Amino acid sequence: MALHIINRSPFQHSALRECLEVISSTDVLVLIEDGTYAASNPAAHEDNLARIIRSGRAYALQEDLLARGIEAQTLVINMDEFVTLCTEHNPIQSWF
Amino acid sequence: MKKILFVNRQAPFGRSYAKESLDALLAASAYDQDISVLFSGDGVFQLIKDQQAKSIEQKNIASTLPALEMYDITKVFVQASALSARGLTTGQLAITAKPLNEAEISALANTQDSILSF
Repeated sequence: MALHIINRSPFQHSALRECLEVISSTDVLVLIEDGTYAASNPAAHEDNLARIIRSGRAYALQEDLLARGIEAQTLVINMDEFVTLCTEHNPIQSWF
Repeated sequence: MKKILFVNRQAPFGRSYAKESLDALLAASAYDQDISVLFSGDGVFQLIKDQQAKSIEQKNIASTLPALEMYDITKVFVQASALSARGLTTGQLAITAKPLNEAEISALANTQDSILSF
């Protein structure tokens, strides 16, 4: 199972969209930095994202959500849990 | 006196544009110019209140924005469509910003001597 990391705003960059085009049904998605803006309003993006959120495979990093004053509809993880996820998945692909 | 428009199109923390814009704004205010500020696109994210930037060891942009009024920068605008596209309302913003539609933004830009983009 792959882990995909997105760190760019879904409104300004194609990173999230391009990732969602190729993500498999068992892969996990982690939204960090400006990528967390996708977690607050997923309906504005792809149906695929809502499906991944419903199946519990989408995470957003708590530190980055707090900094930006946004609430996530994804699962929320802290930095330690992010590290754990990275150790549990292979390969890891960064989208930026 | 020149009319200068600062255009902020970037989210607050992923890059340093937001902070640099604010620094430039406060500096420019010392020169007695006719300054306007527009938050458009992802720039509207700079305005969200309840930012806790210390969680990523940065300084809150939104808590510095109220300083604009103290520097006599009162012409603060926000792109209405950018707010709605991001599921935001003016009630969620840290400062008062007048919502503008695209035609109004175009008119605002066309009355300026200079436009500084961040």
